[in-house]
Amino acid sequence: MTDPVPTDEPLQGAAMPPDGETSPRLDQFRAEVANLKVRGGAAEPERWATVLGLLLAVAGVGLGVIAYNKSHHTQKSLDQGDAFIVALVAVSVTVIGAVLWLRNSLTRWFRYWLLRLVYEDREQTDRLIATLDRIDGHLARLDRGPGTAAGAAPTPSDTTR
Amino acid sequence: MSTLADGHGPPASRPGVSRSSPALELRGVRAGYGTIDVLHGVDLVLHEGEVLALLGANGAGKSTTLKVATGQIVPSAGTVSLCGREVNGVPFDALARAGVCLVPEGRGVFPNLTVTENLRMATFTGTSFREVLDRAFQQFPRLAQRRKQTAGTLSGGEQQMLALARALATAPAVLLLDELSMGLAPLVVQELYTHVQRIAATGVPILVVEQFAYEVLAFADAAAVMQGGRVHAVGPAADIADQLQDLYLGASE
Repeated sequence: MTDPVPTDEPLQGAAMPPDGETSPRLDQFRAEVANLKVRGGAAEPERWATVLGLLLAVAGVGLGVIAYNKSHHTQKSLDQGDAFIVALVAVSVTVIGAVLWLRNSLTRWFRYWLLRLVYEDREQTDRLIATLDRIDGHLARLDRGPGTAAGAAPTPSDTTR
Repeated sequence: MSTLADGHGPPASRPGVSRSSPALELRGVRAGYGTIDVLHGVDLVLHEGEVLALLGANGAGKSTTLKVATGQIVPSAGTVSLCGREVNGVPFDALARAGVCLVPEGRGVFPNLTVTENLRMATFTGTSFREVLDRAFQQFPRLAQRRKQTAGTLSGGEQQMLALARALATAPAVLLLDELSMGLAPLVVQELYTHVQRIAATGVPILVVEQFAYEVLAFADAAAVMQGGRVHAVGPAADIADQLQDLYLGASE
C-alpha cells in the first residue's frame, strides 16, 4: 500500500457534468432502468412455487382416488369413461405439481449449497492466510534472534488484514 | 425520524448534483431474512451526483438496506425506485447489468482467483476485458504489479482496491459501498477513501455504509443515521457530524 495515489488524473470514461445536467452514464442508466422487466414484489418466489407444486401433487392424488371410486362403483360405461378422463387429469395435475415442487426445491437447495460453498471456500482461504502469516511472524522473530521472540511487533500484514 | 434539514438534498457545493429525480429512492421499505424483519419502514433518497453516508451501530440494518437497494432482498413492503422507476422484484443481476454496483463488506473478491481473473468477472456488463484491465490498472497501479497473484494472498487493503477496481471497471451508474474499512488500518482506509472521493468527483452517486463515520462525513454531501431498522436522522453531512455522538448514543431523543 505504498503506491502514490494518482490524484491528478481524471477517471477514465467519466467526466463531471455541468451544473443542472446529468451525466451521459446516468442518462444511459435511466434508459436501461426504464427497459427493465418488473415482475412484482414477491419475496422468494420459489417458496410459493414449492408450496403450490406440493398442493397440486396432493390434489392430483386425491383426484385419482375420487376417479377410482367413481369407476369402481358404477356399471355404466359412460360414467366409467368420465372417471377415466378425471383420472387422466389427476395424473397430469400430479405430474405438473411434482415437477413444480422438484424444480423449485432444487433451486432453493442449490442456491443454499452454492452460497455455503463460497462461504466455506472463503473461510478456508482466510484460515490458510492466517496460518501463513503466523509462520511468517515466527520466521521473522527467529531471524531477529531468540531474545526478540517474546515481544516481537506484529508483521505489517497483521495490521492490514 | 429526526430531520436536520429541509429534506436532505445535497448542498450546492458539489457541482453536478441534481435534485430532479433521485438516482435511488427507498420509500417505507420493510424487509428481512425469512420471518425475521430487519427493516421497519426505511425512507432514503440518493440524488444524482450525491455522496450519502449511511451510518449506524451494528445491527441497525445498513447492510440489509444495501441488499434491498441492489435487489438481493425483495422488500415485503414499500418501494425501491431507480431514477423514478419502481424496481421491486427486478432480479439483482439485471440491476447490476444496468449499473447498480455493490462493493460488499469484507473482502468482495474471489480469493482463489488471480487479480486478472477477478477483473475478468467485470466483463459481465459487456465491457471488453482489455478495457476492464486498462481502467483497473490505470486507477490502481499496484494491482498491475500483482496481476498474477492470487487475490486471497493480497493484503486486506489491496483486496479492497481490487474490489473497487472491479466495480469501477463496470462504469457504475450508482455505487454502493459496504464497510470499505472493515479490518483495515486507518492509513489504508484513508487511501481507499481518496479513491472514493475521486469517483464521487466524477458525479457518480454513491451510498456509503461505514463504521468510521468521521472518515466518510469529511467528503459526504449528506448522511443518514439508522437505528433499529429505521432511518433515525437525515441531513447534511456537517450537521450530522456535529450531532453524531448524540445520535449514536440516543441523547437527541
